[in-house]
Parts: sequence; C-alpha cells; structure tokens
Amino acid sequence: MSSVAALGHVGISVADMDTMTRFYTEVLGLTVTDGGGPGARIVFLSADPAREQHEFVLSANPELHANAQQISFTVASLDDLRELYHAIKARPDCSDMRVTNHGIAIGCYFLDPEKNRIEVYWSTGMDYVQPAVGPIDLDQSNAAILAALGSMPPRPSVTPHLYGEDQGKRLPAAAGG
Amino acid sequence: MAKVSGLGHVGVYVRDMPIMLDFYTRVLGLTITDRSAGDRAVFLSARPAEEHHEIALVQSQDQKTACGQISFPVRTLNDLRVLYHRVLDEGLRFDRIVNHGVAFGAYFRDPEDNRLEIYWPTDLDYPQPFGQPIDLDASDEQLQRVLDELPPREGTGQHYYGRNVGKRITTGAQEAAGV
Repeated sequence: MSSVAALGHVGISVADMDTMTRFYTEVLGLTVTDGGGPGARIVFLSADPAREQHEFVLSANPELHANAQQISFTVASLDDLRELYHAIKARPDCSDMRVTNHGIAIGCYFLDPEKNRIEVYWSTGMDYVQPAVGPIDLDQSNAAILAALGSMPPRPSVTPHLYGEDQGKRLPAAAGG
Repeated sequence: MAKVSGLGHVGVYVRDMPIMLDFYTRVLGLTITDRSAGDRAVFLSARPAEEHHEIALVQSQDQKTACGQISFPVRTLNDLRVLYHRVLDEGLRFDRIVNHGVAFGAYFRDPEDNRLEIYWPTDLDYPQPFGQPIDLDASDEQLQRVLDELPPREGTGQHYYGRNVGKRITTGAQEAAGV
C-alpha cells in the first residue's frame, strides 16, 4: 500500500535570518543548498546535500514564531555528540541544555537562538521501549557510556515493532494482560 | 569537525490523539513503534527498522505546533497520486500542488491544521525556491514532460544537489568563489 517513505524536511519561521543561518551552518554543520545571502527570505539547508536537497528550511517571518514540540537531528558518532554538546553549551545564545539517555539514543536537548527546542542525538543501535528518560554524563569515557547502556534492564513492550539490533531489551507484554 | 548527520524526527503537539493517530497511521501509513501510558506521547516511523521515530505526537491542550511545514517523501509518482486522493477522500484540503523541479509537492493541512507536504523527489537538480502548479491527475508522460521542459535556471547557491546539474547554471559569483 502506498505510504510516505520517510520524514524529509521541516520548515520553521525565523525572526533573524542571519543569526539562525549562522547557527545552523557554523555550529550544527548544515550546508546551505539554496537561498541564503544578504536579505534572504528563505534558506534551504541539508546535512547531506547529495542525499537530500533540504532537510531544514528557514523562512523569514518575524510575526510567526515557530513552535515545534522538538526538532531532532542525528549525529554519526558518540564522539560527534560530545563535541557538539560542548560547542552548543559554550554558546551564549543557546540555553537549557539537558542530556538524556533514552536507551535507543542519547540526546542533547537545548533551545536554539530563537528558543526552538532542538535535539541532537546519537542512536545507540539498541532497542529499548519508549518513552525512556534517564540522566547520563557525556563527559565519561565512551566505554563507561556503553557500559551504562549495556546495564539497562529489559522493559516490557506493548507494541510489536522492534527497532535496532538488541531486541532482548524489549520484552513482549503478556497477551491479554 | 562534528556536525549533525541528518534530520531524525520532529515532535508535534496534538489535542485529539485518536484522530491524529488515525490520520498518521491509516492515511499516511506510518507505523506506531512505541506509546506511553495513556498515549500521552506516541512514536511513529515510516522506516521502523532504521529510525525508531520520525514523528512524535505529544498531547498538549495549551501548546499548538507552528511549523512552516513538515514534509514526507514518497517512493514513486504513483504513490504521490494515490496518497493525494487518499487525503482528499478524508475531506482535507490541498493548499498547493506544485512542481519544484527537485520534487513534485502537494501541500495540505492535517486534521489539526498543521501544514504537511507529501513529495516525490524527481532526482533533478533545480535551484530553489521554485514552484509551478501541476495537475497530479495528468498522466505520468505529461508530468515527465513538465520536468523535461524546465529551462536551466541560475542558482545563487554554491552547492549542488542531484544528478542533473545541467539544470543549474553556474553564476559569476560561484566562479569568483572558485566553485
């Protein structure tokens, strides 16, 4: 049956295009694929332009403040997550940094320069029933973080769908309760 | 330098969870991968084996999502046409149906008035923004002709997308930048 294939892109309106474009390119490392430049009203950005023309669109509109519950970007490695965590934490125009262990991912949540709730996250490759929220210290060694993930107890699940390789972290709930 | 590697998911506030869940699963075809007690949050993915969730629906009576758009690709032009009619059959309205060059996109509102797009990537490179109305009920041949007849267009960006970069004329600014 026909269905959507994936999430492709998200667009938000911004008040200060220069500040926001610089943040998303210089800190998060997105590439401007179209638009941009002085006086730009719309800017198209992608983390991987050869794969997706744009994943994120900034549209100038000072009167309409964006309000996504969250917009979340993947990172390729735990080292990348740690480096971005420190880069974002050092920014005076970002705030409310919170690091969360979801089991399936470790996420850093923060408010961007226009107070949008953004997450950067590293997928652990482990299956774990959501929602799961716990603290974790990103300044530990990678080995310590992997050990913390490995010691998470299996959790019962109400959904039949599995994610990731470590399916033992998800126990099927007893049928009929 | 560390950078983000892609867009993973977006969270959407919802008022009426049953209506929104029905829409995102039955009409768009997303899979529920997990749900919290009382469905306060429900996680959905079009690719459950690769991405645990691409959309998170989160109940809130006082917060309203304001995204310019949330856009989902489809695999084929025919999938786009089928989904277009499925959305129409739900009584939802389309704001615009356009050829972007890089994609055919159909924009509509979900049951809580969030602006969604379903799009078929054409695999053509074409500078954005660009939008030209099209009729999705035209034949595949007619729609392909619309793409074939697109004139090359100046791009101001330095970065290329897709295979057919001949559709994007190199500007003087790019030459000056050594691109």
